[in-house]
Amino acid sequence: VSTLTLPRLAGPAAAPVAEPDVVTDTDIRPDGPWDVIVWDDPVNLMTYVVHVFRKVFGYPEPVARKLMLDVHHHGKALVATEPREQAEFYVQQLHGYGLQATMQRTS
Amino acid sequence: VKPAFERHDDGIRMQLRSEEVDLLMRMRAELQSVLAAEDPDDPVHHRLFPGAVTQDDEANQELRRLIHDDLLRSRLDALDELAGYVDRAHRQRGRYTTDLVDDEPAVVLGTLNDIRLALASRVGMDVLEHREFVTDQATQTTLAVMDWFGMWQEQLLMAMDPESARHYDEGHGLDELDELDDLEG
Repeated sequence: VSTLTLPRLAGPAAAPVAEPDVVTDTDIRPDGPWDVIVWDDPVNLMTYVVHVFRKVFGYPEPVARKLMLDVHHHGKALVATEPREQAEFYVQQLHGYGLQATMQRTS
Repeated sequence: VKPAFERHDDGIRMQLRSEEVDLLMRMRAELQSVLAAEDPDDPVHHRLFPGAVTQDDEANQELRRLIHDDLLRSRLDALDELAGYVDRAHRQRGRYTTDLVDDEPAVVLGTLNDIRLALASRVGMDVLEHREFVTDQATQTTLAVMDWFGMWQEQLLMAMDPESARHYDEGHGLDELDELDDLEG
């Protein structure tokens, strides 16, 4: 058997998975910044999430690891705030890696 | 036992036993058929193509529609590429060996993740949260496959990106995290 540890899950075993509600917001500011949020899930490995944050955002390892732990402990993490087009690009990239990512207008 | 994935020269050597190749190819084929069906009511489809925008339903529908085809195409292409790596592997004494170069390790890593996400969607979130109580043999097998492929992901990450592969609970990176917290006040 490999000396590597068995895979660890990115989500706490007993925590419910937060499915973001989609509701209509009438306060539309089309030019404002957008927050990119990554949500916890019990499947993606912690190490994998760190890797994805490094690849997608180019974050140094300590920053990527801190964001991963934010997701792990708090159920979600704000990973970037960008103009709409860039935020959409990030969401697409994160979905490609299998992370649950959403964007919303910065409040 | 040799790891299935380890760094070798400029690439990463993939070395799988024949039964592991059979399992991987079966999972690959099942995911391919689920993706090709494009059933929006399938939980696997929902998990691999999740909501994209919150607090704006119209924007959510628009962005999901915009990125869906690209995501689907890249996932199907990755499954094809994975089959190609296995096809070209040197076979000797029940082992399949090939060296992954350039973006090939990332393709395998992502495909393993997609398969694990799909399997997780099949068994359901309740089972994942209380897996210690699972007695159903089929579900136990699915969870074992998820763990096995997760171990491969860890091996791949160790070879591709050792910094990311460090485990928090091994004590690595704690100093850096403390420094980061200090900086943030």
